[in-house]
Amino acid sequence: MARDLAIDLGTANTLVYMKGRGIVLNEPSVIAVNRQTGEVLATGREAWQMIGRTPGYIVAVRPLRGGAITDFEIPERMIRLLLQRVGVSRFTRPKVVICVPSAITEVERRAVTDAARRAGAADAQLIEQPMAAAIGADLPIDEPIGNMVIDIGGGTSESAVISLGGIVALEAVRVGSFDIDASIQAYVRREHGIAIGERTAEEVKMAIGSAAETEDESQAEVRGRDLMTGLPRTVVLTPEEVRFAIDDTLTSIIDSVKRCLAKAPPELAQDFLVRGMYMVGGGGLLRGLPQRIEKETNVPVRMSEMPLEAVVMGAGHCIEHYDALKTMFMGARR
Amino acid sequence: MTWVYVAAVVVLVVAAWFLRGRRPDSGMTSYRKHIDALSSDARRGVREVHDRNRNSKPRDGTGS
Repeated sequence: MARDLAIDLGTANTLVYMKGRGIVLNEPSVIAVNRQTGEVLATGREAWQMIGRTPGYIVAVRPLRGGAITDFEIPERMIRLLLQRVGVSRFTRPKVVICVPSAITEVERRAVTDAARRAGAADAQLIEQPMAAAIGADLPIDEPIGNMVIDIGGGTSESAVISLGGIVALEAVRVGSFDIDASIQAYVRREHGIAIGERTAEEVKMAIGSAAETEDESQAEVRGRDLMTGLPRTVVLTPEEVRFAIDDTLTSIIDSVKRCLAKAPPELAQDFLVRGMYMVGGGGLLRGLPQRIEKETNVPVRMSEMPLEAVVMGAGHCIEHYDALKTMFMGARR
Repeated sequence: MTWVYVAAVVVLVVAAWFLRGRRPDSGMTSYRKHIDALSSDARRGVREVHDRNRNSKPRDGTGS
């Protein structure tokens, strides 16, 4: 008997919730493919470790970039492998709810649902990430109250105002924590003359990255390739430098939050001052980011209890109450 | 001739049953179900499944 599934197909991580079982898979959204034969060599954590370290004939890629599908074949293969790994076969055909960025195009939506159906799903439905996040974060979205959720993912940042079971205002930008990493990479290249990989940039962000000054201002050693000599070199980065490097990226994320607040009807806007805005997604874990958003918007910001799992938990709830929540799926409202 | 009357009555009953299903309050009913399914009580089940699953997983010490 097939167990229905909810999938958070994130730019950074993929999580799978199985009906009645909870989260059964949580790993990086990376797939390693042999360029010559087209075979999939690794997925998830194993493929993530290959990023930037592969020989010429192997390519380790993320199926989504900036919340968009760059190569339609890759997500399809990834979804097929995911379903196989959680026990879906041609004889067990589960219903699948997939969380996708709200900015996804019609063509991309169709590509994802078709991929899931071809991979063995009896029915595939899509739900916007902020909606799933609000359900997963346990916000009282069934009540006539303004609930605001900010989901900062790897490739997109989405803010949504939700009330009475539906999205009232939504704002999404294709900027996320990978863009923060890219800003660090660009800064180190420009100011220190060394090239670093995206994994190193992510490590720098996690070690000393912050959106506002913190109590712990320790420095970090960064190793890369000198652009002039081509030889390995080490430089020391300060948290202040990293804040400067990522400032423009953070500003565009915060500006999108402000635009979403501005779209909210006045009746709901007053609720935010009391209830605050809830942050989910890995990007929200950047030190000082909630405080900076709070300072710039004058609205309290609270972190969700499970920022990384909130989206898939919300989608999991939709799969547990599939019939009652059908109207929330992206196709149902068009 | 009696069969014709019986068939007509059956058709009328079936038609009435179908029309009853399309009453305007069907939207209200489905909306109520939608809102009820989003209530905190309804969502508790998913959290319980998650907690139970997390607690039952063997600790392998990898920290992942």
